[in-house]
Amino acid sequence: MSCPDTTALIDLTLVLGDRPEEALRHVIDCPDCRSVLGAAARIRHLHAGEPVRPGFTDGVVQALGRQGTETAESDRGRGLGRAAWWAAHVVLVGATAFMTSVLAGTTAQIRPGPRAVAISILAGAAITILQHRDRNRRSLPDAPSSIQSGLS
Amino acid sequence: MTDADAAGFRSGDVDAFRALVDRWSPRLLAVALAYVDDRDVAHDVVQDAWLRAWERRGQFSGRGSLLGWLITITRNTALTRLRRARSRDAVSPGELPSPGTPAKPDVALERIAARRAVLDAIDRLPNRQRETVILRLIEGRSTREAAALLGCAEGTVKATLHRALANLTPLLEDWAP
Repeated sequence: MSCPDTTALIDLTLVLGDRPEEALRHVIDCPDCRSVLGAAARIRHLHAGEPVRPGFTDGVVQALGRQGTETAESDRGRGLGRAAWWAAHVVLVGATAFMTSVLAGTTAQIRPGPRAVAISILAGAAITILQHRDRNRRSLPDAPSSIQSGLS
Repeated sequence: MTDADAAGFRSGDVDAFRALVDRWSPRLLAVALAYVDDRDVAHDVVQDAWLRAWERRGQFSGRGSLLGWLITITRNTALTRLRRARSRDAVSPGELPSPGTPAKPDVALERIAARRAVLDAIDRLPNRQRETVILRLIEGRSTREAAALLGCAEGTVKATLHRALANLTPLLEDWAP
């Protein structure tokens, strides 16, 4: 028997309504309907899928495990590096602020005390944070529009 | 795949991830093969796409089609690889065909180009039309399921699919499977 899948044809009657012959005749006679149905069939065919090589799923899951380990290690390294960077930056900017206050104090004939040192360090930390925030705001990457289209 | 797998994937469940990889990789491989003609490279593209999807799983909202989101990542991964390969070719003149070499008609390449044109056309559709095409035609969801995932009426899904197909039809007429 060369008939198409009867189950699929029975499903089709749900769409075609109580006069399936009429609806089918319309599809056969209407070029617009035919081309739209053809387009739908081609899209389905295009995405029907290709057989993947054996063990592909296991390979992906193993790669995920490796990636997880590498990410954890690099995160740890990055965390230590970031702490060192912050400390160095605060000391550098604080020292600059302190030297500026010493120079200003010399000009005004005032000796810098412990309060000047504390204020300099605080100023250094504040300037570092402000610089970091400003840099982050400028360097935020734009996600590609095609990726964004999949997100809502 | 069940919707529970999609939810598990979003929350970082490796078993749900494995189920998704098992289920959707053939579809994603078909997408990758629209951009690269080598099956091994296409497998690498799909693997990279899955790893990127896992890294970014928090960015998927849970609404709409997860497969659509994965297709976009696969397509972008393939395009990035293609661009890198092209820039490598540009600096290695030894691999370029010598002048005067007659161009050979390559059926496989023509087929790749045609598939790519269709995928690019789907990607250029307005977001709602693209989602509807993927849910109804590619995932094979019913109108009711698609409406629930998109948060709209069933009539809207039907009308949107009709508009999307009307947009795609002229592009698909030249493409024979």
